[in-house]
Amino acid sequence: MTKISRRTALGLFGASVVGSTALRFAPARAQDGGVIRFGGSLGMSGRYAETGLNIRHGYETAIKYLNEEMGGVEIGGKAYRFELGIVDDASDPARATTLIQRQVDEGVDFFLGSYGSNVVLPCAGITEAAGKIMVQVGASADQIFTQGYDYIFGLFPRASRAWVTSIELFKTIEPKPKSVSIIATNGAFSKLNAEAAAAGCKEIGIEVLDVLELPEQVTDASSALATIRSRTPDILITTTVDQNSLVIVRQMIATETNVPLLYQFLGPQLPAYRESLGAKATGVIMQLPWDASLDFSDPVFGDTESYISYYNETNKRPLSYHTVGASACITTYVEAMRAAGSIDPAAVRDALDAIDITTAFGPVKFTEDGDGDPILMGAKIGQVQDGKIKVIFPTDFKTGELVYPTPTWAQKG
Amino acid sequence: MRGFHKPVPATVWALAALLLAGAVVLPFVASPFHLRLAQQILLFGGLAVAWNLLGGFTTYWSFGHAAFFGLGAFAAGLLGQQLGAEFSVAARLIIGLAFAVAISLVAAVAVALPVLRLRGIYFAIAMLAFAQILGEVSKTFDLFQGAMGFPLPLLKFPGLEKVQLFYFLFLLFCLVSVAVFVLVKRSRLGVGLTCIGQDEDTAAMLGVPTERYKLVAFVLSAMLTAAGGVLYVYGLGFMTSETVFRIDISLNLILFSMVGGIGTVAGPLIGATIMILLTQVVLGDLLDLHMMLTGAVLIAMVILAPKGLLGLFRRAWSRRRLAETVEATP
Repeated sequence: MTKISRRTALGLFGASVVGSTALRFAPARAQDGGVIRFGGSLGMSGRYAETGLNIRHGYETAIKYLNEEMGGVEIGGKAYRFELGIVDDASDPARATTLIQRQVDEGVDFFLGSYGSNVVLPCAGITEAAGKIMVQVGASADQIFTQGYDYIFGLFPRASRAWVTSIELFKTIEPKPKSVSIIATNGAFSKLNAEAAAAGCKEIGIEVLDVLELPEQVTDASSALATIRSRTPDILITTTVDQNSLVIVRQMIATETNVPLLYQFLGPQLPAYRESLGAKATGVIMQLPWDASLDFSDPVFGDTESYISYYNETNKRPLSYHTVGASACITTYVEAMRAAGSIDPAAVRDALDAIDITTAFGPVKFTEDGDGDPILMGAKIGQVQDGKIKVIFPTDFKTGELVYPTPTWAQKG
Repeated sequence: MRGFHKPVPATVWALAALLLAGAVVLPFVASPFHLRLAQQILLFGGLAVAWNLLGGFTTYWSFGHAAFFGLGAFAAGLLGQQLGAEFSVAARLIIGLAFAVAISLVAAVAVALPVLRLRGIYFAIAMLAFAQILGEVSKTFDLFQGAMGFPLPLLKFPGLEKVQLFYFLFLLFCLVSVAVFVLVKRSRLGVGLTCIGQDEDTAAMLGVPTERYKLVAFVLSAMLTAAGGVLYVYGLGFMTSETVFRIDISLNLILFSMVGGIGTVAGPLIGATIMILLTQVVLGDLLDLHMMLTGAVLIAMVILAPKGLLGLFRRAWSRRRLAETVEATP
């Protein structure tokens, strides 16, 4: 048997590196031959990997449907197929900007977003400067939409407007809640939402008793809950992510910390949360960026129900709202291209400015700054009732009535 | 300590001059993507050289250099906000750089006094913890705005695109790092540090002021790292705690040094070049496999070239010279 020496092995390795590098540098125009290539980066490893994978599945599902089920799309009298050119930015902004720059240099005109404002914002600076469009579902920091960018669109309202629908709900509650307390963690997402919630409550005359801050990974919320028990608010809001919300609610149950209404920003949306708490989950309200019970028409998939069944047939990964939103990014692009009758970036940008459609994700209409319309695209509010989520607000989407005040933990059984 | 080191051969000077000339011309001929790659190589190569000021000579391997990277970035960013639009962006950057370097000097001295008493893995873990603490502090206290993040002003220079301008800034940073490393290596300090790396107790017994030498190397390394952090965030235009206080930044500095050759000036630059090209160009498109392949390549490198590529080259070169000597012997 012939042995491979170290020198040979290193030589082969070096040759493969050089060869692949040379091939990689060969430019490829993105929109040649009736193929529209969507570029972008996603954190498929590193800190944001889980959400990155959800978003990627959404992109892939829409592309697969457009190519395989619809046989492509006719735009301006010419048939186009679609290609996804996503790369892994490892949740690293420097890596993301370099990889996005490569795609800009290669002639990609249409970009999909990464996840996390600290990654999306530097990338948006590059695509904007090059006159390339970005439609994204992974970042909502206000700074993305206040830079005066013309080519950047987001499917969510900017963070400071994420509480518009919630505040509208609070206005309708009878008897009117007089006070609120907020529990946040010291992450960007949680803090920003806590600030927006507090500002909104103050604006409508609800007193903010406390804004309590916990570490980013919550393991013990007992001191915050002691404060809640000593000054019980009418509404307790936790702007926490899934696992942290569960830790807080479990400690509330254990310490008999009762409030008339518990609002957990993220967590109750997950079946695992509701199964874990059983009847104790009853009455908890939450934001619903998307919910399967809301059926919208969709120009590509037909409607939300058809989208869900196609997704479940072709994917093993459970559906998340980021996944549906990612598919809606592609649908929005396609509809804008159809409306523009062209794939010229400036024409598509103008069509995106004017777009007013519904997708499986919900309505899509952008503000002048490019973020989602806060009422149309803002989150719906849901409440756990009999183990299921009922949409209680806005009125147009209602599938149930708000229960307020909710029973105590002991009464829930 | 003059005479301890051989004079630098003319060929090395010529090669350095050629590389520098090429580096200066590059922004005017290369595409923006290649310039961004070059920016990363220069920045992280320069940072790895700075890390080598202590970790390369001695066994004090810092696993938390992102602490100084982030400290510098926050110091300059927050000071820039306070200075406001009355100062030009360039003035804010320069003042911010000076402030960041000064803050990191103070922080490095303060942390070095207890931490440099530790050795080996204990030092590494202490530095890791230091970086974690700074990251948490920057997020916890609203004063630092680390959780929400904040934008940095756009630096402009007549006749240069942003990508070209930052390429030159990173090039300058890399040259300063290299110059500091070479000066240290060829000084009494460098010899003392090498002795510390070989046997710290014996070095102390022989009169090498080990504590002072370690402190100087650590502080120099921290100051350069902080300067790199400032340029990095100005280049990005937006920062949060997660942008700078990242463990992968600390680990990459060690990785680049290991791949190229620890304790050398060229090694970290070679390591940064290879790893950045490998992960962002060669394997960049392999969506599901690139991390696995990168890991496999690293394992292969450690097995085939434990002293880095420069070590491998030196070994091959000495073997060849030995073979030539044997052949020439009658």
